[in-house]
Amino acid sequence: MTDIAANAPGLQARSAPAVSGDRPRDGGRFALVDLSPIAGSASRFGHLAQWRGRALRVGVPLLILLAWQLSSWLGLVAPEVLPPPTAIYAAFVELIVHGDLQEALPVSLTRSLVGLAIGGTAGLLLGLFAGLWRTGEEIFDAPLQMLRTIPFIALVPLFIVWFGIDEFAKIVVITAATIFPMYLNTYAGVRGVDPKLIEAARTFDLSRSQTILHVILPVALPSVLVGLRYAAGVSLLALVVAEQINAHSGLGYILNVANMNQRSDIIIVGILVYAALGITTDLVMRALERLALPWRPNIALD
Amino acid sequence: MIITRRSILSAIGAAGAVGAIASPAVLRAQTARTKLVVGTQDIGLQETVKASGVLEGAPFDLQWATLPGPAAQLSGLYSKAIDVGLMGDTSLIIEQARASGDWTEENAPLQIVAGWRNPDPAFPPIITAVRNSAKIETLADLRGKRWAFNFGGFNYLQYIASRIRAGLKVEDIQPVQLVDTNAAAAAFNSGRADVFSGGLGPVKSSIDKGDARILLRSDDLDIPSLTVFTARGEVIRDEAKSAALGDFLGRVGRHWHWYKNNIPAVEAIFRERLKQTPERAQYSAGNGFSRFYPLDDALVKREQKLAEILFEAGDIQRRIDVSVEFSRKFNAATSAASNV
Repeated sequence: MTDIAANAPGLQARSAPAVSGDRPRDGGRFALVDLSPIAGSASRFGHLAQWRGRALRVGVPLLILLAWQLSSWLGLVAPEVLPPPTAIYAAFVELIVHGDLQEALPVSLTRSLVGLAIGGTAGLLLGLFAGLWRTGEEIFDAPLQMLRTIPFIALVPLFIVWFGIDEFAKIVVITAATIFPMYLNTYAGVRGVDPKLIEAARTFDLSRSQTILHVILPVALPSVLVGLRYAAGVSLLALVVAEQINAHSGLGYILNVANMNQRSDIIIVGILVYAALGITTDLVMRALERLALPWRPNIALD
Repeated sequence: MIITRRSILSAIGAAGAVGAIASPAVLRAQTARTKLVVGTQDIGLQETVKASGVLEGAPFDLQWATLPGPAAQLSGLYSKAIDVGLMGDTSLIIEQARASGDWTEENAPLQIVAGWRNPDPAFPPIITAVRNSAKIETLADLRGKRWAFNFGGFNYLQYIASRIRAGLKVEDIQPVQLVDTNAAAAAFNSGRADVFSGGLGPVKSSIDKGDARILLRSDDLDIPSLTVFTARGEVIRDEAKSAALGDFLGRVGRHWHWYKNNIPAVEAIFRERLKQTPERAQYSAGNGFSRFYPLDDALVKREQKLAEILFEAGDIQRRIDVSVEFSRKFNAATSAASNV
């Protein structure tokens, strides 16, 4: 990287800290090159790639939709097996007209966010504790790895016994589901810090807390954010289980009622709403990642 | 006005008395109403009871709880989250057989307090249906067929009793045990299974389209197939709760009179609140009309036969006396409601 920068005078270095023991061969001049798009390196090809990416994101689902409708029109797929998009649209209108979706979204999103906030925070703290301290790992890692594999959907009757039938039980289900992705990614992020960086921190005489704050946490942050992104998705999925417990509204409730009454068109509407929420969540998380990780290269193969 | 020590003490005393009367504890005691938490597996009954207006003026507070499936209802009862749960009449047979100790009239943790079904034979609660493509003309033709059902409750009994009636063992068929009746119906409706045992509603579309037909009804197999309310033993023994429960059951019974005369309104409830298709809502509205049946010796005798079938099939590990599962305390309330 140093050589490239040195041989390309047009590229401006954003920072050029000298690291002892890593002397550049050109006698002191070297530069770091940030390859991420926000570094302003987007070229004409970069724009094209961006547009191609966007077209693929929109075009592929549209093509699937078209093929789906055609298969229904041509009678290749029976409506009981897979309702056509027109029937799905009618079901969507039905849910809107009766106010079901408008009622469900705020209720479910609130449950999901509260559960994510509690579970995400718990997973983060446990992940940091287990990642940073061997004692933490010894205390929490094995039990959490065991709990991670428990199928929560099978636990609904037990959750009722333990936590009752009110809002609390629903939040506990979502919390329990979101702890693990956050814990695992935080733990992996902290444990994955390059030992050379720790060594460098020691060389600079950083204290333990300074090393954690200035080296380990920033390096682990990408993994923590991946955990948050995954946990956000899981918090939405957990609604289907949580809203089996004495729910009277919500996305999971709509799906459960549709399932009980063989309304596959409504089930697919629910899936599409989930997909929309998933994309929205992903966009928010990506924006959060860009804000939190401005130094992080964003490299993808063309 | 002369202020004396006596007048000051009187004023303090009066203020104390007023404070005591107005204190939250006393106010609570004065306004305390019995609260009944009733579980159902979907909102159908809740909505029709509410729409009927029979709950107006009830001297108790009612809280509905929706917990899909008998397992969740039983969990709600055991955890005391609910006082009364809704399930099939055979759920307690399995529950009693699994209990570590013997149930008696005195210690039974749960008892059935009321049972109901549609009296019209045109609406059989439980059926065994076959797909026409499977070429099943007689019971003997069930041999080797893929048979979808779900474990527990009277759906399962319908499967076992149908298989026994056909003279077949488990190894003579291809059992397809699924998580619930909806999953079993989905397998049947999509042609993945040849035979289905369970409720008529979920497979009615296949029957209406001519893809399937009913082979056996629960009545053919002497399965009472009542939907029941099961209460915790403590609720039955508690005087206030028991009175509220009796009142509640009477109101539910009276609501079916409203139901019978307001089928379009009931259909709308099934369509709009339970998201059923218009065809399914029409069927559900007709099917949902019910009346209470007395919990008497004749019923206990039939239920005992079911317990024997389950024992013979190896689904329960010991012989049990099912009579302890039935509380006859509320028969008067339910029969009075049915006779209005």
